[in-house]
Amino acid sequence: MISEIQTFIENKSNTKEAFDSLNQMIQYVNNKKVTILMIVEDLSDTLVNTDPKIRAKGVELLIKVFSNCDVSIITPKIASVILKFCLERLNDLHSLQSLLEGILYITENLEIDSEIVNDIPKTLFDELTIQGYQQTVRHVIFKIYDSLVEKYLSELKKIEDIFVPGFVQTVEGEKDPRNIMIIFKIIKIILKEMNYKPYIEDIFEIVFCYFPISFKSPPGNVIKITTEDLKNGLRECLTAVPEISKFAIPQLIEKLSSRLDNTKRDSIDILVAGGEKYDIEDYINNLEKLTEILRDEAFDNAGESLESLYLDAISSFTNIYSRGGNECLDKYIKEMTSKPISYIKDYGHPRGKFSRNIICAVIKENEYAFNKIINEIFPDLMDKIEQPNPPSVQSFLMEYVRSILSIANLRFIGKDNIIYQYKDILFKEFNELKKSDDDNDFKKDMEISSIGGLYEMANLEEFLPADQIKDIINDFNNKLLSDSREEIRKLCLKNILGLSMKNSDLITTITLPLLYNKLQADMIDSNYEWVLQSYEDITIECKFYEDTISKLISLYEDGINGKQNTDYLTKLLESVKNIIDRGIQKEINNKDIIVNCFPIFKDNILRIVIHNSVQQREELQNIDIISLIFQKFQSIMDEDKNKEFNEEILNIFVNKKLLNSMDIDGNIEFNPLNENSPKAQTCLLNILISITCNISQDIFNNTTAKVINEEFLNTLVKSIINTLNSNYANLVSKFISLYCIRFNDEKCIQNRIKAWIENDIYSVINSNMVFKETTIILFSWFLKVLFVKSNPDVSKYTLDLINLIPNESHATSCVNGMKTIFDVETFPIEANSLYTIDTEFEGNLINTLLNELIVIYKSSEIKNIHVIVALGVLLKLSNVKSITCKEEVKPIMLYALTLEDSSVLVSSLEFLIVLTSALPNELRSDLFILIKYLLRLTKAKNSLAYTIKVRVLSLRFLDLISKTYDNYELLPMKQNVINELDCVLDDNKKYVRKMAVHCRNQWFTLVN
Amino acid sequence: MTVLNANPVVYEVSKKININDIKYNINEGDETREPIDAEEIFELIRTINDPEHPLTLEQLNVIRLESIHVEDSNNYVSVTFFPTIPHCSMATLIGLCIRVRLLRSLPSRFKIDIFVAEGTHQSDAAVNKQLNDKERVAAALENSHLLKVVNQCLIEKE
Repeated sequence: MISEIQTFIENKSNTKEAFDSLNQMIQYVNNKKVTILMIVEDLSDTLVNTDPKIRAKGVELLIKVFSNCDVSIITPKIASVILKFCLERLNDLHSLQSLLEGILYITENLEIDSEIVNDIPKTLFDELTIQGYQQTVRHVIFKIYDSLVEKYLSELKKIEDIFVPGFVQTVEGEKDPRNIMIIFKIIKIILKEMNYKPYIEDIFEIVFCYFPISFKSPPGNVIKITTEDLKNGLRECLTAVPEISKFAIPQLIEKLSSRLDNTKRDSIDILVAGGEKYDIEDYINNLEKLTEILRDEAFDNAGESLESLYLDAISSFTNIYSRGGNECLDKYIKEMTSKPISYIKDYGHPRGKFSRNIICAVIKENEYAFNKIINEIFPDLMDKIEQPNPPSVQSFLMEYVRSILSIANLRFIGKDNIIYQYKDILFKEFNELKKSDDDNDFKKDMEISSIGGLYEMANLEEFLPADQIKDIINDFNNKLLSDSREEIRKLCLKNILGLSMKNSDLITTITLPLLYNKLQADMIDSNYEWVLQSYEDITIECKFYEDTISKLISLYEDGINGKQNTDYLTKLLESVKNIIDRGIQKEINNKDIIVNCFPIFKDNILRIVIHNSVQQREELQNIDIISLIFQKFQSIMDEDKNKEFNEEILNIFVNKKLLNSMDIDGNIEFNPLNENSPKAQTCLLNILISITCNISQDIFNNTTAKVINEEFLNTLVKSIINTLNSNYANLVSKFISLYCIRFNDEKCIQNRIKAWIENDIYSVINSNMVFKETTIILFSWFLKVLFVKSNPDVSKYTLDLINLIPNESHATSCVNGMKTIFDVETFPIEANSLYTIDTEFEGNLINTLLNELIVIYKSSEIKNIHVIVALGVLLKLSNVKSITCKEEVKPIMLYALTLEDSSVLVSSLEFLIVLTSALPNELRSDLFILIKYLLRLTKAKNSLAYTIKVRVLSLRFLDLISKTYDNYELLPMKQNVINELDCVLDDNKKYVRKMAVHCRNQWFTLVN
Repeated sequence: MTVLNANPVVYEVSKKININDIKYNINEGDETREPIDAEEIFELIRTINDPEHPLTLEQLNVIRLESIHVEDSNNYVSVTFFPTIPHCSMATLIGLCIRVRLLRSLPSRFKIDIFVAEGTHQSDAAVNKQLNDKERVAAALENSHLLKVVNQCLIEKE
C-alpha cells in the first residue's frame, strides 16, 4: 500500500498514475484489505510533512479515499475522527480545499454526533475568512453551511446565539450567485426558526446590499440560476419578518426614484410583497413620501411600460393601508387622489387620462375606498356628462364612467350604492354614445366605451330591467355577426361570454340560434370560421352542449348531402370534438352533462354515415375524427353504457341490424364486412376497430367475444383470401387481429391462427396464383398476433414471409407486412394498453430476420432493392442496440446510399440516423465516405431519386454528424461540406433551404 | 463596458420553432420552385442575438418584416434595420452580424445591402457606407476577435 501512496504523492492528481493508485486504494478499502485508520497510519509522516505540497497531497489522498469508498464501511467513529482531523487542520491553507471537501462529504452523507455538529460552524467562523479564498473553496464552504441547515437544524438552534451572528458576519460581500442563493436560503431559515432579533440590522444589511439584483445569467447558464431565482430569494428574505420594515421601507422608497426601471420594478415588488408581514406603523410613517413618489412616477411613466406596474401598486397599497384602520386609509386616499381629482375637474387637462387611471387604481381593490371616492365624484361626473360636451370630453368622461362601472362589478356593489340612482341617465348616455354620427377621431373609442359600458351595466345586479338587457345582447349579437372590425367582434364575443352566467337563457335563445342560422346560410363566407369558433365558445360557456352538438351534426349532414368539400366537413366535426373535449375539462365534476349528449351524437352520426354508405356515395374522409369523438365519449361513460354501446355497434356491423331510428332505404344492403361492399362502407370499419380497442376486457369477453364466433371468423378469413380488394383486406384483417389479441383463450386462438396459416394462407402463397396480395396482408396481421403473444412459431412463419420479398410482385406487400408486425402504432390506441411485448423475444426475432435478409441479399446476383428496403424498415423498427449483425448491415446500408431509388435511400438514411444517434462509434471509421455520399444526396439536380424527403433527411443527417462527432474528426471535411452545401441554399424548396441553412451554420461553428 | 441602452423595450415575438419539429407536408412529386421571399429572410435573421442584451433582434424590434426587400429573380436582397437608440455604437456590429448571417445562408448569387433606417441613427450615412463596403467588411471578418463576437451573436439559442 505504501507504494500506491508514494505514486499518488509523486504524481500530479490528474495523471493516470495518480488516478490508478487512488482507485487501487479505494478497492483495498472496499474489499476490507485495509482500513481507513491503516491509511492514516501509513500517511502519518506525510500528514505532518514540513513541505506544504506533500502535506496537501497526503490530505487529498486521505479525503479522496474516504469519500469514495463504500459508505457501509465507514463507522460513526471513523467519521468523527476524520471530521475532527479536518476541523483541526483548517488553518492549513494548502490543504484547505481537501479538508473542506471532507467536511462537506461527512455532513452530506453521514450521520454525526450532535456535539461535533456544532463544532463545525464554530470552527468555520473562527478559522476561515471566506472572502479571502478563491471561488471553488468558497462554494464548498457554503455547501457545508447548506447541508448543516438541511440536516442538523435542530442542533444549530441550540447554538443560535453563536450561529446567527457568526454566519451574518462571515458571509458578507459574497458575489457568486450559487453562494448567494444559499445565503438567501439560510437567512430565510434564520428568520423563521432562530432568534434573529438582536442581529436584525446586520441581517438586513447583508441582504439589502444585493438590491437591486442585476445578474445576467452567463451564456449557456451552466449554474442553472436565473435572475428570477435571485430576485425571489432576495424578496422572500426582505419580507420574511415585520422587524425588517423599519429599515427596508425608507430604503426601498428612496430606490423608487432611481433612474433604472428595473430598480423601480424590484422596489415596488418588495414594498407590495411586504404588505402582509411588515409593521403597518412603518408604512404609515412613510405615507406622504410614498404617495408622492407613487403618484409622480405614475404620471411620469404614463403611457409607458411601467404605468401598469405603478397602477397595480397603487391598488395594492390601498389594501395595505386599510390594515391601519379607516383613518389611515382616508389619509392615503386623500394624498393619492386629491391632485388627480382636481386635474380631472377641468376635463381638458392633458393628464386627465392618467389621473383617471390613478383614481380607478385607488378604488379598485377596496370597498371602503370605492364608496368614499364614488360618493365624492359621481354626482359631479353625472352632471357633466349630461351637458353637451365636445366629442373629446364626452369620450373621455364615458370611458371614465365605464371604468368605474367595471370596478363596481368587481366589488359586487349593492342597490343602495349611489350609482344605482343614475341608472337611467347611464343607460341613455351609453346608448347615445354609439349613435354619434359625426365622423370624428373619437368615434371608435366612443363605440368601444359604449359597448363596454352597456356590458358593465347589464352585469350589475338588478341594475337594468330584462328588456334592456335583451336589447344590449341583441346589439352585441348584431356586431358579433356582421361588424367588419375584428376588434369589435372580439369585444362583443367576450361580453356575451361574460353575460352568459346571469343571462344564459337569453343567450341560448337568441345568440346561439342566430349563429346557427348564419352557419346554415353561408358556408363559404370568410367569417365562417369566426362564427363557428364563437358558436363553440358560447356553447361551452352556457353549457348548451346537447343542442349545439345536434345542430352541428345536422349541418354536417346537410354538408354531405350538398357535397361540400372535406375541409368544411372536417371543421364541423373538429368543432364537435372541441366542444366535447373542452366540456369534459370544464365539467370535471359533472361529466353526466356531456355523457347525456352521447345518444344524440351516436344516433345521428351513425345514421348519417350509414345512410351515406348505402347510397353508394363517395367514401367519407373524416371517419377518424368520428372514431376519436366516440373514444372521448367512451372514456367518460360508465361500464354499463359502454357495454350497451358496444352491443349496439356489434349489432349494426356484425348482425346487420340497423336501428329503427335510422330508417334507411338505400340502393344496397349495409354490410361492411363483405368483400364486395363499396369503399364508403368498408371505411366505417374504422369505427368498429376503434371501439373494440377502447372497451374494457370484461366488456369484450361478454359482448364481442360472444357475438363473433369461430365460424364467423372463418368466413371473414375466407373472404379476404378470395378477394382482390386490398383496402377491405387490410381493415378486416386488422379487426381480426385485434379480436385475436384481445381474445382470452390464448392457446385456442393461436392454434386456430396456425391452422389458418398452414391450411388456407400457405395454399394460396405456394400456389401459382397471381393474386396473393390480400393473403399476404392477412398473413402479416396474423403474424402480428403471434408476435404479440410471443408464440415461438412466429419466426418460422415470418421467415417464409421474408422469403417472398425477392419476388418483384409481392415485395411491397411483404415490406408493408413487416411494418404491420413490428409497428407499435397500428391500432388507434396506445399499444401498451392492448398488449405488452417481450423485448427479448422481439430482439431475437428481429435478429433472425435480419440474418435471413442478409443471406438473401448476398445470395442473389442482382442486388434486389426490395431486400434493402426491407432491411431498412426492419432496422428502423428495431432497437438499434440489440442488433447483433451491425457489421454486416452497415456496408449494405452505406452501399444503399449510392443507389438511385428514393424508397431505398429513405429507409437507409433513416436507419443510419438512428444508428448514429444511438451508437456513434459504429460509423466513426466511415465518416469520410458517408459525408461524401450525403453531400451528393442533398443536390436535387443529381438525380430524380433525390426527392425532397431524401434531401431533407441527408441534411438532417449532416447536422446530426456535426453535433455527434468531435471537432478534430470533422474539421478536415468542414470546408468541403460548407462549399458543397452552398448550392443547396438555392434549392427549389423552402424547407430544404431552411434545413441547409441550419446545417451549414452548424458546420460553420465547428472550430479548433 | 457600460450598457448604452440599459432598459430596452422588449417586443413579443412569435415562438421559435425547432427545425426538427416542423412537420413538412412533403409532396414528393412537386418540385416547382418556391421563391425566396421576405419572410424567409426574416426567419434567417430574427434569431440573431443583440450584442448587448440577452435578447434577439426580433425581440428588440431592430429588424422588421416590412423592412426587408427581396427580388429572387434579380438576385437582390436589402435589409433595413432600426437601432434602439440614435447613438447606438453597436449599429455597425448589428449590421455586420446581419450581413454575415445572410452571407452564410443565402446562395452566392445574391447581392446583399444592409442599411440603417434613415433618421434612426445619428450617423446613419457613415454606418451605411461602412456596412456596404465589401473590402471593409472582408477586413473586419479577418479580425479574429471581431469574428468571435459575431459568431457569438449568431448562435441560435435552444
